[in-house]
Parts: sequence; C-alpha cells; structure tokens
Amino acid sequence: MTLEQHLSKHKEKIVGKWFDLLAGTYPPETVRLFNTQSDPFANPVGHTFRTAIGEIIEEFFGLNRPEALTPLLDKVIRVRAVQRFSPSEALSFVFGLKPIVEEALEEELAEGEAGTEDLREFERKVQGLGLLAFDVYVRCRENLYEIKVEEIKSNTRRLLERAQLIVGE
Amino acid sequence: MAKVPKPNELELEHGMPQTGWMDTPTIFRPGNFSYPGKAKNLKVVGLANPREWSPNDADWKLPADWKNILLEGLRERLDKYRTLKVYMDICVRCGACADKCHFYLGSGDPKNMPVLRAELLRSVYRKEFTLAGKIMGKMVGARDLTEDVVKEWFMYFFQCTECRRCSLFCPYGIDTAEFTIIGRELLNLIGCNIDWIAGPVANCYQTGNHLGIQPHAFKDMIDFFVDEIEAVNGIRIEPTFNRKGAEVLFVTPSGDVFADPGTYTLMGYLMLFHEIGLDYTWSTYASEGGNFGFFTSHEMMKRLNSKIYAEAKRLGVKYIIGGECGHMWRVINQYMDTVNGPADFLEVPKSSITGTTFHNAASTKMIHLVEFTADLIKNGKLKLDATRNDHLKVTYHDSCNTARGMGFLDEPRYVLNSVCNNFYEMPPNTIREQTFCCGSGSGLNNDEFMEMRMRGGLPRANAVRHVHEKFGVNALSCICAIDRAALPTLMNYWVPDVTVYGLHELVGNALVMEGETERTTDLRGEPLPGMEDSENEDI
Ligand code: SF4
Ligand code: SF4
Repeated sequence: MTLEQHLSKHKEKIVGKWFDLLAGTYPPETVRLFNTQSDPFANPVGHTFRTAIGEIIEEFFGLNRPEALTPLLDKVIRVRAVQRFSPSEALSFVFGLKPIVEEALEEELAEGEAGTEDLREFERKVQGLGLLAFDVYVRCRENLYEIKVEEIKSNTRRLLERAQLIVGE
Repeated sequence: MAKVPKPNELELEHGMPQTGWMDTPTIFRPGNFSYPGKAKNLKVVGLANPREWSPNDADWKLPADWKNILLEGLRERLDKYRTLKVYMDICVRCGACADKCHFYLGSGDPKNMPVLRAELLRSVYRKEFTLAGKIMGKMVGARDLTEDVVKEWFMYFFQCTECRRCSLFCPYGIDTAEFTIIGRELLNLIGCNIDWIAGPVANCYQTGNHLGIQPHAFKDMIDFFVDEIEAVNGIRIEPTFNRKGAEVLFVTPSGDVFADPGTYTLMGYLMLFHEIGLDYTWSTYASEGGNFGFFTSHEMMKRLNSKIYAEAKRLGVKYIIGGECGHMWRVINQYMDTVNGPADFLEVPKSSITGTTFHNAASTKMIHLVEFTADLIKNGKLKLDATRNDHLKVTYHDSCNTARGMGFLDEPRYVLNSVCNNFYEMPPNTIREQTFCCGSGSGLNNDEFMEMRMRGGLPRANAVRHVHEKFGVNALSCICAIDRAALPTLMNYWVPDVTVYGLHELVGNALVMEGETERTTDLRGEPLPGMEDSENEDI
C-alpha cells in the first residue's frame, strides 16, 4: 500500500484532529460554538473552517494541485488574516498537520507498512503546503491594504472629479 | 543560535487569550481600534478634555478627577434612564445573546459577546452601586473602576455598532446597544472618543455636514449630477436650494452627495422627484441627514438633529422627506420628536401625488423616501422598466437601523421587486429583524479599523457569498449611506464579484421618464442589457 492509501484510510480522523487543532487556537467559549452550532450562518467561521479543512485534505491527499489548493486555503486564511493573530500564529495550523498524520499512522509505522522515508516525503509535501499558505496569507494582507486605499478614493472621488483634479475614470 | 520552534511547539501558540475575561488585559494593536478624537474637533463643540493622545500610550492624560466624573456620570444616567437601571439588574447571564453579535462571530473574542460587553460596565455598577458588590466584590462579578477598565471600555464600546441584534434574542429584551451608547457617553465626559466620530460632529456643527463641505460646493456637486443625468437620458433636471414655500424639504446623508456609490443613489432621487413633479427643495443648511452626535451623547445628537426642524420652519415647508439612511432614521424615528419636537408648525405628511396620508409619521412629520416611493408604485404613478436592471441579480441587505430600529422590512422589498426582475433573499436568519450588521456602523467605518470591520462584517459577507454561489447574485442593494460606503469594501475583501447599489439607483435605472432619449446605459454608464453593441458604436 502507498502512503496515500494509508492516509485515505484515516482521512476522517485526520480531518477531525486538524479541525480541532485549528479551533483550539480560539478561546474555549468559541471552540464550543464552533463545535455545537450546526447552522452555517449562525456559526460562519466554524462552518467555513470545517468545510475547508475537509476540502483541503481531500485535495492534498489526492491530486495536490497548487491551483486547486490555493482557493481552499484562502477560505481559512482569509479569516485568520484579519483576526488578532501574528502571521506565524495564523499559519501554524498548517504545520500541525505533520504530527497529526504521524500519530494517525502509528500502527502502520510500527508494523513497517509505512517507513520513515514515506514520512519524510509527506513532511516535504506539508512544507510545500506551508509555502502556499504563506503566499495566500500575504495576498490577503495586500488585499486589505488595497481595499483601504480604494475606500478612501471612493469617499472623495466625486469632489476631486468636480474640482477637475482627476479626470473621471 | 536562535531556537527554531518545532511544529508541535507551534501548534501550542494561541493568538487568543485563554484566561478569564477580568484577567485578560486589553491590548491595542493596529486594526483593532480607531484613532482618538483630535483636540481641535473636541474644542469646536465643547467636548471635555481636548488633548493629543493615543490609546497605545501608557498615560491617557485623563483629567485628575476622572474616576469621580465617571461615577457621577453613571449615577446621573441611572437616575435618568430607567432602561439602564433595569438592564443593570435583570440580566440572568443565560447566554442567549452571546453568539449573536457579528463582532463575536467574526473575531472569536469573548469580550465581544454582548453579555460580556455589558458586563464591562455592569461590573463597575455592582461594585459602586449595589450592596452585594461592595461587600463580596469579584465573587459577585463586581470590580473597581481603574484606568485599565477605562481602556477596556474604550476598546469594546468602540467595537460595538449599536446594531441591537443581540437584544432580539434576549428573553428580557436587554438592549446591549444601550450599554454602548451610555458607555460612550461616559467616556466622552473624560475626553475618550474617536476622531471618525468627533471630526464629522465638528464639521456638521460648523458647516452642516460630515465632510465640512460649504454651501456653494454642495450645490455645485448636485449640479454636476444634473449634467450626468442629462448625459444618460437627455432630461435636464432643475433642483432648487433653500427655497421658501416649497411643499417638502428633502434631507439626505451627505455621503450621497460626495461618496460613490451613494452618488448614483442621489441621481435616482433627482430623477424620481423630477418625474413626479414634486414641489421640494434641498437645503444647504440642513445638508446632512446623518448624525454622528448619536454616537457621542444624547445631548450631541439633539444638537445636530435640531437643524432639520429649524430649517423646515424657516423655509415654511409642509413636511420632510428623508433619503436612504440607517442611523439617521434611528434618530428620527426614536428620538427626534422627543428631543426637538413637537413639530407643530408642520403638517402630517400627505403625498400630493397619490393623496396618501402617512399617519405613521403623524408626530415627527418626516417620512422615509422608500415608503414614499413604495406608495407611488402601489398607486401606479411610476412607469418602470425593470428589464433595465436585468444585468443584475440582486439581494437586499437590511440596515440594522431601518430594520430593527424602525421595523422597515417590506417597503424596500416591494420597491425592489418592482424595479428589478431577479431578486434573491439571503438566508432567513441573516435578514429582516435578524439582519447582520455591515460591521462598520455607529461611526466605525474608518480605515484604521479595517481588520475589525472585516471581522464584524464576516457574517453578513458569508450570507452574501451564499446567494452569490447559489443564484449568481452580483448586486447587493441597501438603503443606508454607511452601508453604501462600507459594503463595497466588505465585498472587495470577502465576495469580490458583488457590487453595491442603493435602492434608488435601481429605481433610477428602471424609471421611464417623460421625454427621455433612448436609454443605453445605467446610471454608472454601464451598457443596459441588449445595448452592449450601441456602446461600442459610440467608441
Ligand atoms: S448591539 Fe450589535 S454590535 Fe453591539 S453587542 Fe449587540 S450585536 Fe454586538
Ligand atoms: S440574553 Fe439577556 S439575560 Fe441572557 S445573558 Fe444576554 S443580556 Fe443577559
């Protein structure tokens, strides 16, 4: 069996653990909300995270295409990029996937069905995911600065246009 | 060598505090607070303790007897506002409101739970005004008023948009917005306020509107839109200003005059009034419908609001129509008559076009344009071609103030359904009374607060994204000037394919005017459906 096949056996468990790790970066009251409120509109962040984590794992364990992963990572990171995390705190969940997978494969590793080489290969993949996440994070922050500028312009555009300081776009 | 954290160490890092709320310090970081009120703006309206300071400073330069000022201020307000006194005592901490605040949902910060927001003030009340609190202190949730508490108030009372969503879910009807209103009022007594509110208040007081635009420039801007309309459909509109003896005074938020996309909404107003031949006038004195005094203190709200009746009296109009705005309407609907009435020099609004009398405004004598327009449509007075909005799939955002603040739910939908063919509602628990705030209301739509605004607007954006993905919605309509300023930014970040429209812009698109030339574009100069080619010919 390949590592991918082993992983897909444990997919559900891994998704659950990874979500818990992500949720665990919020205060306990908020973790409770993430876990108990099933209405997506009453629990927008929890719901977005839960869906996106499942989708990311699906793609990551499968085809692992950067262009498919980027919008999925964006769903989670776009939220964290405006919350009160430092950049490393916002993205640490990505690297948390390594120990989760290692733990999930405990049995296979013990029985020699999966080897350390496999694991090292997986770690390299996670690093790739981490770099992709970094790109997404920076894009979100850039976006934040762009919208600020755009808003300031809209607030006064008509006045400037009228004063003929700018020509209508 | 620097220690590089291993992955499993990284996962232990929490961006969020894990301590109890009383023990969690308030940390001001870029993006989670608004800049403080500038001394010059405070001086203009005589607000307390004008000085240069920053929330990041250790010393906030509070007046020497700040504690006394706050406690006396609280005592006075407990006597004056019965609701405040009741709300202080009756909360059973059931938690029903806890997860209903958009700021909590988007930030995950427990102090944004309405019950905790109120507790920030209530804990001090317990300590100072109840026997149990005096004796048992922290055990009963009481604590001393310290400078740290003041900082916490400043942080969290300026992280609440006074939207009242929480109150809808409270079994006792406790309105946390009232805590915020009183909290801000108290903070103002010691000079702790934000410039995005203090600036517009000063401008409004001195010049008549938030941006401090003078009368000639105000008129000039409206003339500019007259030209734009003529370019769209060949109709020359001639609005009047400060005209005595007009039947109606029209007042709208100045954002409609200066800020996109409110400007297109204003073009819609001009077209509508022209088409029905309404005898109305603009005022360069009452040139602001918005009222940031409401986000300062009851007293300041009253002062800024007073010019509307004063101008109506001076011009001798019969009644007043107000443009699309949210908080302006909360003030008009909930306070104006009490603080600046009775307006016995005015008449109960009666539409000269349909003959309808608006008994709902029998005492304020001021009606919302959307109800006026809905009545015109209902009586078949407008010729509308809804296909001109066929390039849009529209959803509607209920502004907190019009929806929850005045029960204004069906009129805008009625108008929308008359002027466009593709209207889709967002999920039920995000609209009407349960609407989610734009995240930028109550004077918080400044750019330094952007991160927090994106958090607060997340639940709203999430619902818009849903209808965008499900039905292909590409237009978010609203009837609030702050929404028109804040939602485009919110959409740019969360759902970039959705554009924001004021309701009367859509009316302006659909309105068939007497003597118009063939319409090929909407008010933004975008080709109408089926007219894409004629645009090309022009080029
Ligand atoms: S009034 Fe609105 S912003 Fe304020 S606590 Fe309630 S839900 Fe939150
Ligand atoms: S819902 Fe009402 S009673 Fe319950 S915690 Fe909130 S404010 Fe208190």
